[in-house]
Amino acid sequence: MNCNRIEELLVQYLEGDLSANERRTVDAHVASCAKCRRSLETFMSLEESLGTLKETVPSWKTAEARFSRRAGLEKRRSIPAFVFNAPFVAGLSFVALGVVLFLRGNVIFPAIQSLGPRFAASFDALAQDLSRLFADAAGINVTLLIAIYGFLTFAFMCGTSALVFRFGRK
Amino acid sequence: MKDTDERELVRKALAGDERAFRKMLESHYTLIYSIVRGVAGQHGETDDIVQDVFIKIFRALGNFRGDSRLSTWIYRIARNEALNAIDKRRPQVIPIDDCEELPAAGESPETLCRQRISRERLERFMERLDEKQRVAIELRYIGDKSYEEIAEIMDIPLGTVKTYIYRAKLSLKRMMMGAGAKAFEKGFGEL
Repeated sequence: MNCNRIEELLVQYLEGDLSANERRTVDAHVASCAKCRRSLETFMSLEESLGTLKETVPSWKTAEARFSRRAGLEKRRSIPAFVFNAPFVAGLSFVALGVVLFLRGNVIFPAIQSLGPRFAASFDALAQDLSRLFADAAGINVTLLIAIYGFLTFAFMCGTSALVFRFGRK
Repeated sequence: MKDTDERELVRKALAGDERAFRKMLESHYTLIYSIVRGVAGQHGETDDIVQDVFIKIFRALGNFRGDSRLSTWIYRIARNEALNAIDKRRPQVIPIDDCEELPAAGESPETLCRQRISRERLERFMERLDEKQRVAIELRYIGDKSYEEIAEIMDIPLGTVKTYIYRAKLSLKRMMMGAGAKAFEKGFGEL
């Protein structure tokens, strides 16, 4: 048997996969061939090094601790209640309404004011109050109006979100 | 882990039992680690990818139908995650040989180099193996899996697993001997 064939057999030799006959052949060849003896030594060294690979794996506890931190964040991120809960959506609606009023206020406020007399016919007192309120709002400085609106919306969203985090679905 | 225990763990984890989920991860931890390292190689980011795999399993467990073994399903997830990580990674230059120390007189170069071959060097040699061969080796030596289990996890015939491991060992051994001879020549050149 030539050295190349012996080299191929050495892997199985070390794994104990050879027949008794093949094993004897390899033993006899290795005993008389320095090159194949060195091959065998290198294979043995390789097995030894491969056996130490396990030592490079961090412990499960380390990995688990890291996972716990990430899973905590993941959980928060995946809480449907946070994104889809009613107070949060209401807060977003306020913001959207504010944006619309800001961009189209010049059209919307006069239109609402014009509704005043019609309201008066059926909901007299309430309509007049509303009309007055909108008329006043239209007269206020726009920047101040936005600031008040923004503050109220922000406070509302913070409050409702805090409630959801505290009592919402875990 | 028995099939029935495995199914029970998955069932509990799906029902929201966090302890069951962690236990399931723990029992597959070395498997995941060896797959990730086998696919992505050892670049110091293995731990990060392993964490990504955990999260992926956490999100996708609901899709596990039990058609295959859990370990085979995890193998696919871990492999995909590691491949994604490779795509994002910048190309790196891997030193071919670092057997730089001079051999001491009176000892054969192979023996000297064998003594010096550290795990880190072995890992560098392993970078040069074919991905499938590397995964098979990692599953065998880190994951402690039998050839039959590796075949099941990787969803390939048993004979192919044996060939992968055999070829990987042969290549590694040749790299080790090549590195040893190189160090020997280098030493003589400088003498």
